Amino acid sequence: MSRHDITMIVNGKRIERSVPARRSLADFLRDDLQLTGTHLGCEHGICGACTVHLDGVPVRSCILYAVQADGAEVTTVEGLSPDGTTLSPLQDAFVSCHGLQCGFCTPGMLMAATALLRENPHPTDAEIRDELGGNICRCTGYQQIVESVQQAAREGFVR
Amino acid sequence: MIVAPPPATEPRAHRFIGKKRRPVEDRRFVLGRGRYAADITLPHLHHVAIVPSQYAHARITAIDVSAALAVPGVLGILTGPELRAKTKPLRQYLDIPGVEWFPLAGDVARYAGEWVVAIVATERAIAEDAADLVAVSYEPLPAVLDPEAAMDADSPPVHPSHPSNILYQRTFVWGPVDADFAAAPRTLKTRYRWHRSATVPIETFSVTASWEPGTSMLDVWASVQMPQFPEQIAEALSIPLNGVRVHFDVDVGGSYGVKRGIKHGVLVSFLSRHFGVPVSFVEDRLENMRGGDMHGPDRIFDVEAAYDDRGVVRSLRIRTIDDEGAYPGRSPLQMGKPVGAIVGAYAIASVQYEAIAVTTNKAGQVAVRGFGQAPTNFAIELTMDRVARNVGIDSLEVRRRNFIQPEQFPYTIPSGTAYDSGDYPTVMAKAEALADYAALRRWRDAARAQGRVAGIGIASCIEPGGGNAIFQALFNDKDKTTTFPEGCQVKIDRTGTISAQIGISSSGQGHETLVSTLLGEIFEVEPDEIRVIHADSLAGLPSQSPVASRMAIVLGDATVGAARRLKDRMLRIAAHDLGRAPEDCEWNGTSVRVAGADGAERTWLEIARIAHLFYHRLVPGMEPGLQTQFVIEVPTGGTLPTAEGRVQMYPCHSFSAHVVAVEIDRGTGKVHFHKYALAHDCGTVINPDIVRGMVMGGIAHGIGAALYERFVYDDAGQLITQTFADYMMPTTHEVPHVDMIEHETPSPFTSLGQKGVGEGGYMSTPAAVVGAINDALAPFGARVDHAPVTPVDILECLQ
Amino acid sequence: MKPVDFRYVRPLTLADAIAALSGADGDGKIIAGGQSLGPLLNMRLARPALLVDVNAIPEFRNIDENEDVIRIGATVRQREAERSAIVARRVPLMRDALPHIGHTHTRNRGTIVGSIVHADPSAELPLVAVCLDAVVEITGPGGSRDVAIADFYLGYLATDLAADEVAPAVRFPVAALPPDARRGTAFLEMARREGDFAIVAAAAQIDVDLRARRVIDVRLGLTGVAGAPFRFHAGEAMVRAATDPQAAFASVARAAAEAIDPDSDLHATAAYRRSVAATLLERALDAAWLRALVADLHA
Repeated sequence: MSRHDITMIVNGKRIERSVPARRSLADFLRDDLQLTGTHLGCEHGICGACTVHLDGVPVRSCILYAVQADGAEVTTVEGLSPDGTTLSPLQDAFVSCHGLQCGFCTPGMLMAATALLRENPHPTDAEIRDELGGNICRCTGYQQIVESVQQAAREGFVR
Repeated sequence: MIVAPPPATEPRAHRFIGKKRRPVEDRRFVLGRGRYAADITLPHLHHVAIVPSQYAHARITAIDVSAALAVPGVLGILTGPELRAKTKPLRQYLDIPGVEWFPLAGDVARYAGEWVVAIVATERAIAEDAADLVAVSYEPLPAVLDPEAAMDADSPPVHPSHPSNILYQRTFVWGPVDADFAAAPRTLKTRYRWHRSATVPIETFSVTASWEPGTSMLDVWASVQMPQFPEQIAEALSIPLNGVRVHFDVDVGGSYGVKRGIKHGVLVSFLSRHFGVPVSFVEDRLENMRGGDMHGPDRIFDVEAAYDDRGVVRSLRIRTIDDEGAYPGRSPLQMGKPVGAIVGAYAIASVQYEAIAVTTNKAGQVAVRGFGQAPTNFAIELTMDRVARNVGIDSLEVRRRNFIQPEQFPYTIPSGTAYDSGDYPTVMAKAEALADYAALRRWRDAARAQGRVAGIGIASCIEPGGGNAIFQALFNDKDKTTTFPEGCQVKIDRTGTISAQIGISSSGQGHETLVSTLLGEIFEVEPDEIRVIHADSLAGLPSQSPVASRMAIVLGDATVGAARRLKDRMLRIAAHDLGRAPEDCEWNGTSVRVAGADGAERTWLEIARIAHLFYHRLVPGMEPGLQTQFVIEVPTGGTLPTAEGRVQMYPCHSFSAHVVAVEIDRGTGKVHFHKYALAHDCGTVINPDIVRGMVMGGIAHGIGAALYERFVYDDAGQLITQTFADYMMPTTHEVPHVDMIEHETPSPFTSLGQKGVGEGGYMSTPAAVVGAINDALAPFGARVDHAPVTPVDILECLQ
Repeated sequence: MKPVDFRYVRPLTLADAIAALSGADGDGKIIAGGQSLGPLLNMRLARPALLVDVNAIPEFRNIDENEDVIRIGATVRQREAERSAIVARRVPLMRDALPHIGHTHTRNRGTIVGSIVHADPSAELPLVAVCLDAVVEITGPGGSRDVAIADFYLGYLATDLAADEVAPAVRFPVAALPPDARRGTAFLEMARREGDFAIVAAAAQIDVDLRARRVIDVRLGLTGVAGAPFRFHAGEAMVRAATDPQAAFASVARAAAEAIDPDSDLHATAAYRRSVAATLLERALDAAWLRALVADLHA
């Protein structure tokens, strides 16, 4: 088994670990760092439940290997709240508009929506659906998710 | 038989019920702090990978695990024969001796993907490395893949110890069907095909089990939605039921019926006990799709309707063949539940219903949202459309002419179920108005005049709720179960705070929000101050689990019952302490005072402290503390079916009417939604956002079943839709914006008039969408009678 | 679904990448975007002994613009190309195709060159490359060579890239238009859902001399209809020869239907592909023509 020493910044904290090359970034976050908010739904890059930010950009962490993120900055859903307890405006909007049910796709949706709102603070419904088109939800039918993002846009998305 | 209803609703307007409220569960999920089965860690936890069968049907002649065992990190390997020697077969709900189902194949693999060998290792990746090295020798056998072919006496037997591949066949006749058909001015006959699909949650089935020899206790954490899950593990492993503790405080990442996980639970529990370590199995997506036994109904319907020149339907004959796959389990009962709404929303006088379950060499079928109602409603609704077209009236009009009328409730349908309440014409009218049906028709006609392909579909749907699983007895004379309970425990502690325990796992339905809202309403306390936790199977009360759109009904009423009981006890404590009779006292917000008098009162906190601390002030003989358990039977339950198969299925009946307008790209056959509007009636609404979410989610599943989702097997019995690249689920682009409006006809059988709402969207949408496609294709003299409908199908119709 | 145990290197130079691949004796794989390879690794359909990650090689990151060629380096992301003013201006057919590829998040990692070299017969970028006569730069232990795209695709998922070779870039010849000439492009796709691989896709690029009202150059192609993208030379000739090009588009589409021999599979029948290919090609021609004639229709 090939092991690599890797360093990355995860949710603002510097992390140093040793991992086998084949460990996905998703598994690294979940198993090595106990950041279980990032979920695995398919492990072939389609469902989007594993979405994290890599150097500020949303990517699918199930088809990225932790060694590839050596030296990079990673943000997960756990990094959206300023202190782990206070909800960010986007998180709060999702609760307020009930933009989730089982919560399994939700971290991926939040990471996608965060990236969208940073670039486009006042998206149309079509633009929201476009950016979230790679995140599958089986519970909500998406309508309340779109409303949540609109709510966050109205409330003044900060981060 | 109808049982008398519980006490009527409080007369004043609700404070919390029906109001917007942030669901309690949502907070932990947006923080990424949900606790799903795969998130649970234990010391020495080991992981499982599976070696699946490569053949649809084959004798397993040898299994060589020697190379696999040598992989560092592998703890042990289990084959089928070893497992089968030490466990009992998994439960069959049909009476089918000779059909045995175990988590691992024995000497015969019965479908491609069936689990053959289980590897236990320190890491999942290592278990997979070892799985690569297991050598299984197969002798392929002829396979049967087509359900009608499976009915042939000459077809290869899937279970040779069973007389044939037909596992169940029964014809029910309710009313003078033959006479009604003979007398009818018109009849029609159609075949429908509902292809195999499922509600496929994003989280696969995951289970962790830990056998503790020190206490002879098996602890299980699972991503489960299944009645009698602890019972079936205990039974299979011969552990006393009070030695199995299933933890229901696991967040389940979606289920919509399918997270049954019986074989997963038994396998992993056995592995833990056998190898002496905690064991976790997180299905990967391939294991799930191919071998998780999570496929939904796979149906052929032959429907005949007897009707008149006005399009009023007098009688129906429905014959359904259900392809159960190799291991049926509970799935054939999905032909039984629809008996409780077999005429839909229509005053059809007689029905003949033949249900046939066949076994083939495919993955096993599982319960899916609606438990058979979605495909059945598909067949009924498309038949109504056909009737309409034949007599030259509109799809909406044919429903109006056939609806059970509001003054007819409670209305008993031919199969014996009484629908509790409803107002179908009003709900349909609301849908019609919301959709601006007249404008839609103008849009469609204008589009057609321009040579475009456009259509409107209508579907109405009865959504039974309550989960009286009496279809078990209906389909199996030996099953006399009539108790389908639900319970709630409520405690008020010495500081006056309220907590409740529910003995179920939740998969997104918001049960904590449901229970705390109801408790808050009854106790007149802010719901957010009320804590609801999920008890495990030992600490929890009897439960039939959150299936069948039942929780608002049964958990709701158990909660209300518990709250009222405690509130009454508190009043008695206060009255006693005030030196007055209870009848002279009343609640005033969260205090008890003498009725009509100012002055002396006892506050909530004071009463709680008396109950917990001041026995000398407590009512003599009363139990100290403030806690209660309240268990109810599902309303109207408790009666076995008659010899003719007549039965009161579920107690409550929600209703929805969907109006869908589509335009089809003439060059590609692709379907675009122009409009989607619906009206729905689930009785008293407890949390509007949760209700709306349930309807929308069902619609999304319905769009998937109507246009995209299908498990496809090739001629060799290989599942060729194993990944999300080929099994296509709707994204934000495929689910349109939906306009929704509510109506409330309360149920007389629930304390607040609430009915169920979790399944209705899925039961209606496929019929509405395919109905719209058929309307669009009508000018071309074509129609489709199956789901899913693909652009290829549509283009063939257009050309 | 965890991959087999592989070794991993992330070289900083092309030479080191080649050396690593050579050392793996044919059992090494390049990883750039990973959007195609990742799933194959996770499903153990790809079982390399060595993964060579080329994302750290600096010269792979560039889009180079020259007078008559755009050169796209191996790790240029699809999303970068989508937002690139150079691509929009000089390779508009690629700009049209990009939004159809997967989703924004997969385009954040997926690369232009990776998609071209991976050679999925339903993918969009190979079709663009074939229509524009791209050139694949290849470097191996024996040195560097250029392969014209027409010679690059050898069949279903098969290309001229050997197991010990790397494609550092793909070049797109983009000669400047003469004065009075305008270019119109269109890329139309039929997929079951947004972002899925195309069942069929049609690409059209038309250069029109506005004064002479004459077609100077036309590129037509289809994907999803064969083991490799289909460049419709005969159709291009028909368009160039037509006195009234727009009136000829329907016959060009009919000719395309007859020229292709698509397969049936899970997602579509051969008849469907044939019919829809023709429909999309005609629509693409109409759209490209309109955009050539009317500026600003590309917004």
